[in-house]
Amino acid sequence: MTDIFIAATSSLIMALAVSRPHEPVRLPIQADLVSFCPRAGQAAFLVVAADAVTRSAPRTVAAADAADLARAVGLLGLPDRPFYTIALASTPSRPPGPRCLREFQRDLVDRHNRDVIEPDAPPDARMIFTVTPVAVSLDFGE
Amino acid sequence: MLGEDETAAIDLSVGFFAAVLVAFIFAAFSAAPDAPPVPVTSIGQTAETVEVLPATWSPVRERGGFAIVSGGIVTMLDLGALAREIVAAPPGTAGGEDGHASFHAGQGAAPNEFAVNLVFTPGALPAAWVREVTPLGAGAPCPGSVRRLLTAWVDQREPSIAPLLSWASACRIRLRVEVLPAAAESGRVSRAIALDAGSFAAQRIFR
Repeated sequence: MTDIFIAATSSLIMALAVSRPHEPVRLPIQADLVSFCPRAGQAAFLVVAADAVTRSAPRTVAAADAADLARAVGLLGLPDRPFYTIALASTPSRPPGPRCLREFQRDLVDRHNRDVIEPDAPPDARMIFTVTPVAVSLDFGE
Repeated sequence: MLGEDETAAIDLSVGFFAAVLVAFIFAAFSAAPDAPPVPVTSIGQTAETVEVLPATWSPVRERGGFAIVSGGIVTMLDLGALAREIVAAPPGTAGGEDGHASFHAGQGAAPNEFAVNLVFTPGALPAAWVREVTPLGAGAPCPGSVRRLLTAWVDQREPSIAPLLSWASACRIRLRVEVLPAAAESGRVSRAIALDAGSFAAQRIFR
């Protein structure tokens, strides 16, 4: 009876393990956030959580200045961390230009990192961002 | 010596104990709240995962190279030639007609800070500065002389930095892209290879 029970239990556990739903997760970028340059004629960058970027309709946040960038972390539901890495990727309608990278780095990331050490900075926005442009072109349903 | 009945009783109690244990495990599994799924790379992925370097608070102990990207061409700088030019010329003076380099050390608050100031036209560098020229595009060759860490100064007028990024990732170069400021009326841009208090603020040395 013990034999039968152990055999039945192990086959049940194996069946549960095999039938667990895990669809293949594509992860083209290993970062915390993925950001995209503004479309031609617009000013706001698009920020997406990196693990959601391959979903068909990920949650996006428009960020036009440093305060928007700090707010995006909370809006996208990322866990609290002292550092966040941002990958600057591209989509067909949002090509990565040098000016866009410069603007993103200077007006959003560096501005935020400078403001965060000020004594009157909000305590829930005390994180440091770093941005790296990556050679990944994505196409998600915007 | 155990009889037939005692063995059956032990079997039954072990079986019952195991059943209760498994029931507890199932109950614990179903009662646990769903944790957010951890993204993992899968073997079904066709593209290689691009890793974005996280911020660290220690300077890199590795020498890197410098390159200028203009007009779809990567030009590696020969820093040895730059050093010879700096040694030959008195500090702070202009060198050639089409670009010059100068060296300043220990003039600010920190005694170990230095700056090599370069003034150049992105499209037309002095011939002595050039170590290697690589045109970007599909199938661009990997440079032979470049170090693994490369700082690329990109001309603002480049239409896209995507060719540069794919070239760097194909050649396994750890790239730091810095966009050059708009050129002055003469077409010249000034840039410094420097270690000063500002290097920490602008995260120049953290990769």
